[in-house]
Amino acid sequence: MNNTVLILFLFSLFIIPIASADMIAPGTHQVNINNEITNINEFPDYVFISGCELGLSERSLELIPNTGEIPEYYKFCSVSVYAIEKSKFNQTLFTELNEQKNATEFLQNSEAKKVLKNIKSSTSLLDINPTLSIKNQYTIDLSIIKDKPNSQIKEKDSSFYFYILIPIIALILIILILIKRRK
Amino acid sequence: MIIAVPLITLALTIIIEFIVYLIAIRKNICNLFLSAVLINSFTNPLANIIANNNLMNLIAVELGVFIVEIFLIKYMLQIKYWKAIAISFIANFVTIFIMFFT
Repeated sequence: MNNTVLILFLFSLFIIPIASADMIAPGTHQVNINNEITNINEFPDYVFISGCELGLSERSLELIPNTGEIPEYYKFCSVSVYAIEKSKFNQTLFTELNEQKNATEFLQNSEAKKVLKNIKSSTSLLDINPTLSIKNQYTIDLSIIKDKPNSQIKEKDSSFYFYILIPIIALILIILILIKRRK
Repeated sequence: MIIAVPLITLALTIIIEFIVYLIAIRKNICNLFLSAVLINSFTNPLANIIANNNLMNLIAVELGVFIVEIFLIKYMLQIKYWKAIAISFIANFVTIFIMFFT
């Protein structure tokens, strides 16, 4: 009986941090990050595949479409992108991968080159931050592994522009008051 | 609407700093309130924009606000420099303290 309690206690020590880590911290909000490869059409001889690094399981590999949009993953996934020569890419094996085969083995057999790493699908921002969504744009270079986007487009709450006006108006009024006092 | 949160933060900062001005100066309440509104409407949104876009470290931003407010308080409230420094320090210390510990 005591052993069972001890095992349950130890188990809960592992489970509780995982459970709380999945919650949104107070005062913050989750923002989606759309990731896009801008020059995917420059590599017609290659197939691009994305995969979640958090346990490269059977279901984590996904084909990146010609639009260059990298599929969304679970927020704790550190996504990588691999380039595979079309001649070495086995479509049938890739389709079966979702059922049975091992993703790591598939990437090794296809001689996949990692071209992007540490891609995030979402981020946590302070509530005070007006960013609604983020679009990261990557330019692929087959000879290097990039971990930072080439450019970033942030969509902000339109009322944010009203927020920018506040300090400008305040400064104008301060200057006017000080000038008036000097006269 | 996300903008509601910064506006509430601004309003709270104005109220807190107005109370600090009031305790320190105790006269011409309308001028104190107007000064609190204008000074914080200038510094607070700018500080939030800079800090949230990772343009500067939060401590550096707060230090910048403290310095800018010394001059604004000095000229808006027409007081001596040492008093403006003390008020700016206390007002910003109180708001930072509330921000971190609530």
